[in-house]
Amino acid sequence: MMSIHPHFLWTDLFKKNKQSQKTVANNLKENILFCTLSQSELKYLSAIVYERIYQVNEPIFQQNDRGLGMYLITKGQIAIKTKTRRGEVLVTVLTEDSFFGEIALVDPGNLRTASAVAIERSVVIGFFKPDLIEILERKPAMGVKILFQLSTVLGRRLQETTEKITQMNRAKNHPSESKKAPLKADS
Amino acid sequence: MKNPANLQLRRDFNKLVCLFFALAGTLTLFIINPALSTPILLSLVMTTLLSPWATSLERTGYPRARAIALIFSILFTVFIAFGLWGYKVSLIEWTSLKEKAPEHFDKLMKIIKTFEIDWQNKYPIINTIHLTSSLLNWGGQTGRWFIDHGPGLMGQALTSILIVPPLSFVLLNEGRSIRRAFLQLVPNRYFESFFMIANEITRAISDYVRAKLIEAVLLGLMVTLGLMLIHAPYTFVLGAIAGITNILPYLGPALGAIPGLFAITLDPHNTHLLLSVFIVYGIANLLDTIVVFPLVVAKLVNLHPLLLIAVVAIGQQYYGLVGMLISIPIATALKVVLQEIYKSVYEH
Repeated sequence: MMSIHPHFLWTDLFKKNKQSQKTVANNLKENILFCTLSQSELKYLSAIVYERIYQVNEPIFQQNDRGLGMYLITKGQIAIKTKTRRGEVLVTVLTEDSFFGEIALVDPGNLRTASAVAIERSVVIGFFKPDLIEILERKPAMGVKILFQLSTVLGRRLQETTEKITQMNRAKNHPSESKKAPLKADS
Repeated sequence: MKNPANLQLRRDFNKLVCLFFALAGTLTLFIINPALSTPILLSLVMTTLLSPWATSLERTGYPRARAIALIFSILFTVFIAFGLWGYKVSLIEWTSLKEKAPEHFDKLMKIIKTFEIDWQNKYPIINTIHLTSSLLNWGGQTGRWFIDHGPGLMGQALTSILIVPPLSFVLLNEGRSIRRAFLQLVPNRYFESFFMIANEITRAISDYVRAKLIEAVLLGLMVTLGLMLIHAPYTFVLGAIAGITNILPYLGPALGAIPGLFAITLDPHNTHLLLSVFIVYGIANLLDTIVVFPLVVAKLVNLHPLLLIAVVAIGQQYYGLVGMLISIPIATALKVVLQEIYKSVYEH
């Protein structure tokens, strides 16, 4: 099938705008933080968030930068790296629909614990703390929905971290036991 | 093959150039065209003042545009109702002042002339200074300036009255989109820092403007009530003048008291009120200094008092009264920028 690339003079600018807004709203809807929002709330949020394009190897933020908000990947891949004494370590590679940096939404004076760099040309949606505060002031019900989902995410991350630390401690103290029985999370 | 880092730098540079032109273009338009800048400035002040009300209404479930429309309707009704009443009262006071002004003026000139002759007799060295004729000359020139520029000023005031409400409506409703459009021009590497600084500056300036306006209204009310209590004339006009001049830091309170003290001094029927009027202005300014300013303004302007004085003096030196007015918000904004630079250089 032939792909259509209309000349920019022939494109319906208003329709295009509506379509792009719809895409942002759909992307947001698929994210755990915003999945409980209604259509009108998603439309409102789409007008608040910032869609940014990053080229290959372009940093989104650097380790120890002051963090202001979270990013949701709508296209491309983002590498999360940390600098250690032994050099730079690749922590993970995040793909479409993943999100990162959400702690900055609630942590005052947050410093980024890792760097985020685009591996390929990526499109991300940025959602920042001042905007969350404004939502809480202007639409508290919507803000509570986002905060509730955010606390669920942070809680789950904490649970996972606790689980891993306990597992590591047990493995360190009782190497034989840890091999026998896999660990259950303390909840 | 082109180096990706160089490409990135070029892209960022292009974005910075676009951002610079967008900001510089707006600013130039603002400075070159006073007919446009005055209503825009007034609209920004009005937006700052009304924004919390719109937010409060929006919190109760009103859509933003409807909340703003409701606020404007209420304001319009209040403006018409109280405006008519205020206009009547002010007109009576103004007419009385206008009728008595020539008499007051003649009396003032006589006092100055007597004073001048006395001093010239005592100290012949000042014979070359002709105070009365200089004052009359200055008065004539000022009068001519008003006659020449009067229609223009009236036109500007009328333009402002017509432009400010719809512009404020747009800024209240679409302010976020306008700010967002500017922020989209910022290169990726500076985006979060720029966002943070822009946010802090907007918050600091709007807090300051709001606090100063509240302070002006409170001082105006205190002076009006005080003058009413001692049965002084021109209470509303003098209260309004005291409130408006109080917006100017340091010099404002003194400037606001001058018309009141003059009006009382020169009116033979009210000379006995001079001390009471002086006390009213004194108490109002004292209350402003020890209660209103620390509670409303100082909490929001986190600058050292000495620095405040220096900043206002510099503003006055370069841009006169306007410089005094805008010096504190600009200093607050600069402080935010410097704090962010300090944090990013030394703390991280």
